[in-house]
Formats: sequence, C-alpha cells, structure tokens
Amino acid sequence: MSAKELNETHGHDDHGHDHDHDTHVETTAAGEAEITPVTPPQEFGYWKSLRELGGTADWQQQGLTRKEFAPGADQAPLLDPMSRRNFFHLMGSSMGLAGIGAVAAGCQRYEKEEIVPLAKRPEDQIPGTTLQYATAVEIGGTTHPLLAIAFEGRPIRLEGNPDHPWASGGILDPKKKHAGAHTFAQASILHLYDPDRSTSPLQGGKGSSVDSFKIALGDIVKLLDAGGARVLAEASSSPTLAALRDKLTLKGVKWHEYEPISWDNERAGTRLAFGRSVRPLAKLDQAETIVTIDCDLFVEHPASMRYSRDFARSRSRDGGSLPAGTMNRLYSIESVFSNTGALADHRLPIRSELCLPFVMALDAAISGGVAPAAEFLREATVAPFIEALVEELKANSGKAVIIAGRRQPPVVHALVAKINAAIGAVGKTLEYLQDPWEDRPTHLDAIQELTRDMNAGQVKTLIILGGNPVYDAPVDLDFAGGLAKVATSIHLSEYADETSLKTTWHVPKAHFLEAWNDSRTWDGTITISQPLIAPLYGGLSSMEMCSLLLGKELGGDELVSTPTDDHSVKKFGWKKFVHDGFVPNSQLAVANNDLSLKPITATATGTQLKGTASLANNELEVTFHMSSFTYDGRFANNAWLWETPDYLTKVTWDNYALVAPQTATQLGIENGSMIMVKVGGKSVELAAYTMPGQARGSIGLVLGGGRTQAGHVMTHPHNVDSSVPGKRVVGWDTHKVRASTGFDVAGGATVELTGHTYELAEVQDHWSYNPGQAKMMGYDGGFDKEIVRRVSTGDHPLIREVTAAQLTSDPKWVAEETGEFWDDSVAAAGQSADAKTPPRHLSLFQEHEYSAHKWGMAIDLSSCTGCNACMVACQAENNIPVVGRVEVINNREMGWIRIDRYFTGSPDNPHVVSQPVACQQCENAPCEQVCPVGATQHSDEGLNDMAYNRCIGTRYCANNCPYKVRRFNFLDWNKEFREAREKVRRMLFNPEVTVRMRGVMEKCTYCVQRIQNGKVRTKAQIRSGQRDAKISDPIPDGEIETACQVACPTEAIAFGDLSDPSSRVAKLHERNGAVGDARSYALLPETYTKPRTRYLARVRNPNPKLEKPAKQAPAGGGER
Amino acid sequence: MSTAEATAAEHGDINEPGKARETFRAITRDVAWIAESPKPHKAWLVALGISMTMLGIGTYCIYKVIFTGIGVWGNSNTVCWAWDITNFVWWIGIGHAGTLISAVLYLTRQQWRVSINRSAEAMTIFAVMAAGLFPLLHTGRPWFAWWMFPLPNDMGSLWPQFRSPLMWDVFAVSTYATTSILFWFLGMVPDLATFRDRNAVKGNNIKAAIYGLFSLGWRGSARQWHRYERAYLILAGLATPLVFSVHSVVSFDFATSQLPGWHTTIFPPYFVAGAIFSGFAMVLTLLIPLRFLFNLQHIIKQAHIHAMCKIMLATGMMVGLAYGTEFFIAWYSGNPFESFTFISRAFGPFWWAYFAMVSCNVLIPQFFWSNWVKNNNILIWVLCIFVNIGMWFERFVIIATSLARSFLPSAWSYYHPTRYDVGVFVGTIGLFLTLFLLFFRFAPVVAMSEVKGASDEAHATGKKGSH
Repeated sequence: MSAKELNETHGHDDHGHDHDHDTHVETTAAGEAEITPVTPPQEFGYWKSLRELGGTADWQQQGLTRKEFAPGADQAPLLDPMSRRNFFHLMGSSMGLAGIGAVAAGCQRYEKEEIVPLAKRPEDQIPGTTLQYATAVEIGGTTHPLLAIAFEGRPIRLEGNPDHPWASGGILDPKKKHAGAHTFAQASILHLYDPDRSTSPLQGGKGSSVDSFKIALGDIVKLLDAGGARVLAEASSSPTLAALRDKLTLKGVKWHEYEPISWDNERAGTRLAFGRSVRPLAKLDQAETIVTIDCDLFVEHPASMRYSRDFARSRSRDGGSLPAGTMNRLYSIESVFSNTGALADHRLPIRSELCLPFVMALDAAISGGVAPAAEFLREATVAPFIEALVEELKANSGKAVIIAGRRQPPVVHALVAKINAAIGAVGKTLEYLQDPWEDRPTHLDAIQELTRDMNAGQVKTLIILGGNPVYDAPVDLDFAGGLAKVATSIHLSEYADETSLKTTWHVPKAHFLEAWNDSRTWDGTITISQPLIAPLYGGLSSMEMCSLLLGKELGGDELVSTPTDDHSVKKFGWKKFVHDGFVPNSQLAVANNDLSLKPITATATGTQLKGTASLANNELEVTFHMSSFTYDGRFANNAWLWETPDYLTKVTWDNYALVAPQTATQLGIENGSMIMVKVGGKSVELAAYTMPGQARGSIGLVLGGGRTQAGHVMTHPHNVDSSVPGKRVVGWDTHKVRASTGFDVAGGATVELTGHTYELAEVQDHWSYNPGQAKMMGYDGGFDKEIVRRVSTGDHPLIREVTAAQLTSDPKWVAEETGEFWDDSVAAAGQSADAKTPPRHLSLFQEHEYSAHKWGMAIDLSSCTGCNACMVACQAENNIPVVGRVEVINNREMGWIRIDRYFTGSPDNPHVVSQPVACQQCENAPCEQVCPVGATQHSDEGLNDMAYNRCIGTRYCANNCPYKVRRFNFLDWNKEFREAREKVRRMLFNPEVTVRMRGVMEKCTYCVQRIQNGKVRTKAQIRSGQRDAKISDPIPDGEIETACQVACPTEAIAFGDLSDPSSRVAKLHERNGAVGDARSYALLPETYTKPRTRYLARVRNPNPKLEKPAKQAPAGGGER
Repeated sequence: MSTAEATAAEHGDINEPGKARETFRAITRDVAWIAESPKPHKAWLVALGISMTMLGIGTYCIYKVIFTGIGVWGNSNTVCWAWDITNFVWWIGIGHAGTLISAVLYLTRQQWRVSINRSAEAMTIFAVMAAGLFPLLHTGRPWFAWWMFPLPNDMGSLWPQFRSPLMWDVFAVSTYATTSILFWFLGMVPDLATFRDRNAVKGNNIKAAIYGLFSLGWRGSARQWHRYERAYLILAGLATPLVFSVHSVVSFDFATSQLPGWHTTIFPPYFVAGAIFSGFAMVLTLLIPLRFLFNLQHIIKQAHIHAMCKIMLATGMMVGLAYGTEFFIAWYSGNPFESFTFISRAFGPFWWAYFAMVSCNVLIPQFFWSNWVKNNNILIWVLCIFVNIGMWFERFVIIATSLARSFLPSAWSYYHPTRYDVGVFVGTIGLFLTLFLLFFRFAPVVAMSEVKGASDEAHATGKKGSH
C-alpha cells in the first residue's frame, strides 16, 4: 500500500537549509513554626550527588555492601558458556566431525539470492541516499510533527519537522527553520522494528489469523447494532477519527477516551473558571516572568518542544525575542525536581498538595481572593518568596504568565486563570484556544463510567483502541475484573500486552510509520502522518479498525484524505499537505474574548494547612510522574529509552520512588533502600532514590515500570536483577497504588522500609566508596570539597555562571580570561613584542594547520534543558548499542554524548546545571599521541577521527582522555542482531555509520557522515545549478548539522566551520568581551588540549529581592 | 647414583653445615643429580601439579577473554586498565632481578652472584613470558596485536605510531626478552655440555643427544672458553643498560600521559628500583624452598641470601623515598589535580590498596636490618611474599586509583575485579611456576662452571672469593 503512495509524495530534497537562600523551619512540638536561620549554601559550590556530601549524612549508600565481583559477572548471558546457541554450535561441530551432519555443521551453501535492478526507478529514489518524509507521532492525544528519514524504503531516523509552523523557528532568528524532537518521538522508531511486536491476532490469548479475525468481525459488526457496545480509545486528536467516532456514536456505540497521563485537570479548571473548557497556551517568548506551579514545561508538557524553544528565545539576552539586555525570569514551585525546576532562577520545593494554598495566597495578594490559613505560608523560605513573586507579577503586568501542571486539581488551574487575567497575561503572554472536543468527559470520569458499566454487566462488546487499561487504569476500579464480564472484547494494540491477554480478541495495531493518520499539535495545527513502510506485521490503525466496524474496509489514506471538517484537505491540495506534513492555518481558534471569569471558591484543608518541615509517616503525599523511560509504560520495550538516564536522577533501567533527603533521614531511608509505599490500602514495593530538592514529605512515584507483558527488553537477564526475590521485570508497577481518588496526588501515604537494598543503575554516581570506611580513616578523601573546587571554584571551573545583572553592569564580562599561559595570543605576543615573556611552544608536536574547514561546536548551558533529546538522536544516528542494566552498573554505557548533572547549594533546595559532554575534538588531542597503531588521527578539518578497522583496543586513548568521552566495546554488544528473530532490527541501522565490533574504541565523531554528506550535497547543488554559488565558496553556515544539534529544541548546540568568521559557532566561540557575547569557555583549558567544543556560561537571572548577600544571613544550622 | 637416596648418601657429610667441602666434583654432582635422578622429588611433583592446575585455570580464563571479550574483566570506560596492566608491570618488574644479577653484578665482579644467577635468569625469562601475555590479552582484538610491530604490509603506508609509549614498550620488552634469553642460554652452554657428557657416560643416549643439541658442540677447549668469556662479557655489557631501560620505558606508559598520578618524571628511577626490589623478592621466594628441597645450601649459601636481603632493604627504601617524593611534589607543585590524586590514593576509596602497598614495600623490608631475620629463612620467605604482594599493589594503586578519579567528577568510578581478572593472573603465576619447575628439573639450575670459578679451590692462595 504505502510503497505506491510514497511515489506520489515528494521526498524533501533538502532540509538542511532547508537558589534561594533558605532559612529552615523547624516545627516545635507545639506546632508553631520556629524559624531557624541557616547559612546559605556556598554560592555556586557544586556537588554531584548526595553520596558526595561525604560521610556526614546517613542517607548515604552505607547499606549497600560491596560485592567482591562486579555485578552480573556470574550471570550475564553474554558470558554464559552453554547457552542454547552454544549448545547447538557444539552439537553441530561434533556431528560434522563424525561426518554425518554436514548441514548441521554449517557447511551448507548460501541461500541463492539474485539482485535484480528495478526496471523503472521509483521517483526521487537514488540508491544509497536517504529521503525525508513529513510525518508525525501522536502520544497521549498530542501530535509531534516529524521528518522520517528513509534509506531505500526503510525509515531509519526521526527528526523534528522544521517546516511545521508549530515546531519551526530559530531561537535568535525566527526565520531559521529548526525543530527539536523529544526523546519519545525519536525513540518511537525503535518499535517499528521490534520483533516483540504483535504479529498476528490472538483469540482468547491464543494465536489466530487475520482471516479468522475478519470472519469474526462480521459477527462483531452485528453485535454493535445489538446495543451495549463501547469503545475505549487512547486519546487522539485526529479529525478523521473524530468523524468516525461520530458515526459510531450514531450507531449507539458509546465512546470513552482514557489516558493515564492526562492534562484534563487543566480543561476542568478552565471550565471552573470560565464555564467552558479551553486550552491555555502560553507565549513564553513574550514573557519576562514565568511561574510554573508543579509543572514541567520542557519535558512533560504536551507543548514541551515549543515551550523549550520559546523559553530559550526570551531567555536570550541578545537577539532573542525580548528587547536587548532583557531576559526572562523563571520561578518554579514544584514537589519533584523537574527540568523546569533545574532551569529556574528561583525554585520552591513544596508538596504538590501545598500548591493550592500557595496559589490561593497569590490570588489573595494579586486578584483579591481569600488567603488560606496555611502554616507553611509563614515559613521563612516561603513568605519572602511569595512576597517577591507577587511584587514582580504586579510590576510585570502583561509580561508575565503562570502555568499550572497536570497534577494540580482543577481549582488550582481555575485560580491560575484568575491570576493570569489579573496580571494581564491573556492575549499577551497567554492565549486560550478552543477545545477541539469541548464536551468530552475527563479521562478519569470516562474510565470510571466504563468500568462501572462493565461491572454492572451493561457492556456487551468493548473495542479497545490502543492503550493498556489493564495495566494503567486506576487500580480501585478493577478494570480487568470488569473486562472479564464483557462478552466480546477486542484490543487493538501494537503489542500483545496485559490487556490483550484479557480480551477475547487482540488485533495487531500498525506502527505510526506504517499507517496514515491526521492529528493535531497542541495548538491544533492539523498534521498529516504518512506511512513510510507497509505494515511489517500486518497491523491496522485505529481509524482502519473503526472503518471496519462501520462495515467499510477503507485504507487510512482514503479516510484521512476525505473531507472531515472545515479544513477539507482535498480542496486545498492534499499532495502539498502530505508533503509538508500539515494543513496550514488550521490552528484552534483563539477564544480569549469569549471568556468571562466566574467566581471561584477554594479552600485548603487537612495537610494542606501543615508546614513543609515534618509530617507523620501516615500523612505523606504521593505524586505520580511521567517516566523518562517509558512515558506511562507504553515504551516499556524500548531499550534506548531505558538506557537513556533520567534527566535528573541519572538512573537507568528502573523506576523508583523519589524521596527528599530530609524525609529519607526521618524515615530511615537510604539511597537504594527498598521501601513499601502504602496508599489507600494498596501498596507497592520499590527502590527509593534520595533526590536533593525533592519536597519534604512528598514521595514521587515514577510511572511505567513493572510491565509483565511488554517484551524481551523488560525481562532480559541483562536488565533485571534476578538476585532480588520476585523481581522478574525492569522497574516496579507504581500503577498498583494509583487509584481514581488521588490519581495524580494522593495523601495519607505510609512508607515502610522492607530491609532490603537494591542497586539502581546510575550512570553518574555508579562509583561508590563506603563512607563507613572513610570515616574509619578519619578522613573522607575530601571528595565533596574537591568536586566543588573542580566544578565551580577552581582556577578554571567546569561550570561557569554569570548573572544577568552582572552582564548588564559589565558588558565586557568574559567567561574565560585571555592571557592565560595556554593562549595562542600569548604565544604570539611573547615571540614578538614582549621580550620578558619567552616564546611559547607548548606542544611537543607540531600543531596542525588548516587550509579549509575547522569544525567546531558550542554548547550553551543557559538554554540546555537537560531533556536528553541529543542523547537519543546520537543513539539513532550513530548506531550506538544498548548494553543493559548490568553493564551500566559496570560503567560500560556506550552513549557518545552524556549529560553531566551537578548540584549546587544545600540538598534541601539545590540548583542544578546540566552539561552535555561529548568528544571535545581537541586540537592537541591526548588520545592521538598514545595510540600505538594510529587508529585515532587528526583530520585535515580538525576532527579526531576513529578508524575502527585499525583499532586493536589498547584503550590507552581512553585513559589519556581528560574528558572521559571515549567508549569501548568491552563485549560484542551487537551479538543479538545475529539471532534470527532479531534480524529485523538491523533494518534500523544507519547505513552510513559502521556498526562497531567487539574490542574497538568509539566516540563522538561530530557526525562525520553528515559533514561529508553536507559537503557533497552542497557542491553537487552548485554544480547542477540549483545553488547560486561557486564551487570554491565555503559551505554556508547551517548547511551541516549534527544529529544532536538537530534534535535540540533550544538550539543549545551550535555546530559549524570555525574558519568562517561569520558562522554562528565562530561567533559563539569568541571570548573577547569587547566584541560581544563572550560567555565561551573551554573545559580543562590548562591541559592544553585546545578543545573544539566550547561551552557558553550559564546566565542566571535571580530576583535581587530574593538574592540576599550571604553575610546578611544569620549563621548556624546549615545542612552543609 | 641411580637413585636420589644414593646421591644423598654419597655426599652425606657435605650436607652437614660447616663440614662442606666444595670440590669441583661435588659441585657438579650436587647440581646434576636433580636432572639425573630418574624419579622426581615428591614435593616437586606436588608443586608441579598445583602450578599446572593454576595454568589450566588461566588457560580457560584466557579462552574466555579472547572469545568473549575483555568485558569478562572488571575494566570499565573509566578504569580502562586495571589488573591487566598491573600484572604486566608486576611481571616485568620481577623479570628485573635476573639480568641485574647476571649482567650488572657480573660487570661489577660480585662473585656471590654465581650461585643464583642461573635460576634468576630463568626466572627473568619466565616472568617476561608471563608479562608478555598481558599486552597481547589486554587488547580488545588480540588477533590484530601484531599491528604493533613495524611490519611491511600491503595496506598502504600503514605503520605503527611511534609517538605512543606502547610502541616503545614493544621494542623495550622484546629487546629485553631476546637479550635475556641469549644471555641465559649462552651461560648455560658449558653446563649443558657437562650434562651431555654425564648422560653419555651413563648410556642415556636420548638425553645425551638432546643436551648435546643445546650444548652447541661445546668441548671445553681453551679457545672455546676464551670466546665464551668474551661473548658473555659483551652480552653482559649489552644487557646492563636494558636493566634500566626496560622499566623506564614501561614507566613511560604512565609518565608521558597527562593523567594526574601518572604524569610524573620520577617514574623511571622509581620503577627501576621497584623492579629490582620485587625481582629479588621473587628470587628468594623461589630459591628458599628449592634450595632446601634439592640440598643446595652449600652452594646457595646463607651469605647470598644476606646479600639479597640487603639489596631489598636498599631498593625498598628507594621505593619508600619515591612514595614520599610523590606526595611532596603533589603539594609543592601546587597542581590541585595532582594533590587531590595523592590524597585520594591514600585516603580515598582505594585507601586499603595504598596502605597494603606502603606497609608491604616500606615497612616490611625494615626487618632486614636484623641479622636474626636474615638467618631465619622461613621468615625471609614470608617477608618476600609480602614484598611481592606490595609491589603488585604499587602498580594497582598507580593504575586504578589514578584512572578512577581523573579530571571530570562526573566520570569518576570504582573498580571491581571479576573471577576472570583473578583467573588470568593465577594462570600466569601457574605458567611461571610450571616453567620454573621444569627448568629446575631438566636444566643446570646453578652455573656450575662459574661456581667452580668462584670457589676457594679455584684460587691458588686458597683464599675465599668475595662471598
């Protein structure tokens, strides 16, 4: 189907151009808040994890006894001497020796294959080159526009679609086309080739065929007319599916929509505020003050990519969307540390349930509401925060916006709407868009209604379109029990999962790259997804299923291209929409002027009135969080995501409970303690992660682990610690304690220690020393002090920061002083004028000279949100293997780019800096000097090239690399791709990047294949007259982009030619303050490696009212 | 003389301390009986059994390392070298005593060397063989390790990268191995001829033929002796600089890198002193039991053991001085990375390794000030085992602790060995011991001709040599 359709579409020929100083509050026995002032944390004093903070606190990893042998050394199947395959190997060999089994011994001939050229070349297909097609992935009812890159008919990569109006636009230059893509969107391609995907229908849990399903379908269609038929669908924004839904509704089929991670609280809140549900959309590029209430703008929000981009635009002091010299200020009030909190200028960690009294206090101060009698509002960390915030919001009328998160109850959203109106946000920094399906009940109501009806026996037939409700429906509803009472149930799903096994029929669902779809981005732009490949396992899409239920077997293209609403696609040029990937000007209408505020009543009760300091064990709060690994569990079989470390915890391969250090001390929890969390009579046992900055008294449960029917990735012995009793899959199922009351935030939780410990596979702190031993020696090795020194306070700190005020008062501020001993400028000066300074030849070896390109990179720490998009992009582009939990613990993860995370300040409320580190492509590369066989060499364009074929694997280069960015193939990571059932996964490999064998070193190449392709493409275009330039002209800036750069939503990564002084990267590398932006600095410059990747100092914009000088704060009682 | 008992009976009085008379004949007989007795000593058989078991374990582990990958070890992306290179440097260090004894002491006319030089040289060769395994095995693709040699090839201008200290290692170690083997073999030629003749007399024709093959037609003529002495002197002259160069070059693996804790100029002398220290410890570890087993006390005398203890005392203190100097420089240089590395070494997560190193290498040799200790062979043996352990830890501390805490705190890590790390090491010990035991059984373990030359009877005055 799709191959024919593809020929009608046009390949995109070219897309390249194309901390607050807190005082602690101790609550006395009488319940009065006694304010104990504390020394503020050392300004920009960094530490890496709680473990680092020495042997001073008992939340450390004391309980984890060190094993003599590395974990998994005795159990990893890679090391298994007698696996099934080895057994057959040996059997075969011995039979071969006996002369009786030549075939078994592997002496057979290769299968006869004939290579036949195509008689007629498909349009746009040039063998060996890639084509780009616009498409989109829909996750949780929001679509993310994508470009799929296909190599000879198979999609190999997903990138953001820069043409799409929702996604495009540069940070500094809005006309520049750029679109990021988050980790889930990028990694979703892995499922296309997943051998664990369902390949045929199941009937009653047993294998069946498509034909028998189609026979059964006739009866099912009749059942629909008989009444009692329901559809349970995962959220969808597709206008076509909506039309089909309406047709089914006319037939008497009731439609329920459910998502475990939903923004319905926001809809309900606007209904509370305005009497109708609308969709708030902030215009962050216009906002000078941004306040988030328990909301993660940059990862969790459906508009995360847009928000990241817009935030970076108003964050940029020079050339951004705000007037020159102005930048936004971000306040974040949240319980769990999010990427937004990490970027915030001021972050207030409070329990999620306290956001209501917090917002009420704002409402009282700004828009005339009633102030709650909540105790925590009087606390020394909170009161000045609110005071300063209110003052700023009032002063910044029309330039500020408040955004509340999906966990907050409707009343908080309503109050936020009221405050936003009072500060003049509406129409300036905030738009209310029409809800595309206004009368839809909330997801929670829908699933409750359906389950109630199922249990009451009213549902005869249930069609489940996607989703996995047996796993993720609220636990108190007993969805599985209700499902058992439904006579006929069909589950359309990509995997035969938990729900599929409980339904009478399971039908394979087509991957989004195998099916047509139309859907809406968060602003409503209708986005066309086209398939790139015929369904590998013969799946159906949701709309094809609906069409079958309506008695017509229509293809997805016929359905999508049929006029559905005002944007009748055929009329305006179907082909162009498919090519571009969207229908222009199809955004949801702005409803600002049709809204009028209604009175809102809000009351804070119970624990909402209590302080932040201490709660009894049965008063704890539990919040449920999107997993960075699996979203809500749906990506559970995605090894890329499981191995991409969480944004802030840097844990891989398990979900966990986030506990604040103080709460952990109170409860006796250490990092890695197994705890039992009890909520409303249900309990779950999982590992605890002591997270600095987590709100006191709030336990953050990460969703999406413990899937039993997800696939091989979840059960592979590489990924599961089989020494833990009862643990058979990756992570723990936190849905077990997620009930319909307390669906997002649940109170009255109890935490008990089980007495066990569990080793979480952390990528940054997986070294560990026993603090007990260090104490025994009377000295802890000074690790915390040393990290502070290296990261922030030494001569050449790894992280450099500056405040906006400092930049304003000193426009010539430079991050890296010139005139240091390693400067080439000093060397030049020494040779000529200044006789006192001897000529400097710092390198023993002759330094390189360049005649053409000098590739370089700049990474802006100010706009890096730590969203991991670059990591997944690199993984997909460069065929980076996944090593599994055991090998992550063994410190052998293979990611070419890692995001280092450092904390600064007290564990109560630290600041966080994320620093992406890949190969720095040093000018004087230490790795090149020491390779005995010359496998790593300097190219004439300034790259450190790796010749995998020449590498013998001495690993000396990695030892000599100060940045520790080289990655060694300790084992044959690609072994499984040779197994028959895994061979389909090889179709995903990028053919332009070598798949590395065991025993060779690898590292970031600056995407050398993209550099070469870019050069070839540009020159070919010049030669063929498509481009008006001379062959000798430099490659235009922006023509070549690395994979990480393309994926970055905030353009924090810049890449280009340093020999072209007009290139963006050359300007960013500038470190002469007199010229302009001089935030650039190198990592470890004193090693004289002269790295080609430079970092731009992070700019903070603290509120002077909250930034008290350290000496004014009274001394004593500090955590540090 | 057909049995060991008969041999023992024959020189009964010789074995009694104080009554020994080292006649030329007695020396020949006492050395040759080990190879001539038809049944090996039971203790020798037991030792060989243990050694070969260790070798077998090691062979299996090496099979896993080659066929599964070095991921079976505990090395990681942060600690890329660990036991592999530790073992390499340790074995190379052990291989230092032999050539030092043979060449340097020969040139400086230290007559006491003659009783131990043969076995020390053999030890050198076997240690270098064990060491040589590691540069090969530690590579990710050992089947391509030959690319480290500058061999003409048809791959264009592909050539080793001569700026790499690993390249220098290849030349240093291979030169050292070649010279040591030549030196050892050349010195053995007159003694092999003696074995040939004794076997021929007894009618053991096969043995005589084999020894005859290796004795290269030696007849003991004055001309042959003259040529032999010249060649020996030349080889000693060639080997002497190697004693200092090999471990200096090995230390360049670390010294020329930029890693704090590796990048120091003190390494060459420090490594050489440590190598001699560990080499003598290993000589004593092997010779003290074998000397008892094969009744060689009158040839390898207590005075020789005294001399070796003194050398260990001296080199142990040199090593101790180096440890102190490193710390001083770490502070005096004002380089914060350097000072942190040393603080971390002593007080960080690997503190146990550091203190194992210091106590074994600096404190333990202090016992050798005492003559009582130097006469107590069992105690000496135990102390030498400690020195061997300490010197292993020295290399481990340098390699692993420096790598585990390098420049970027985000990349810090820890190191745990696996069973295969241990297994390969055990296997090389097995290889070394097996070869040494075979050598002890089948080759002239003492340089008979040289011992005779150094004995009292060889001097007209009857005065003792410089024992």
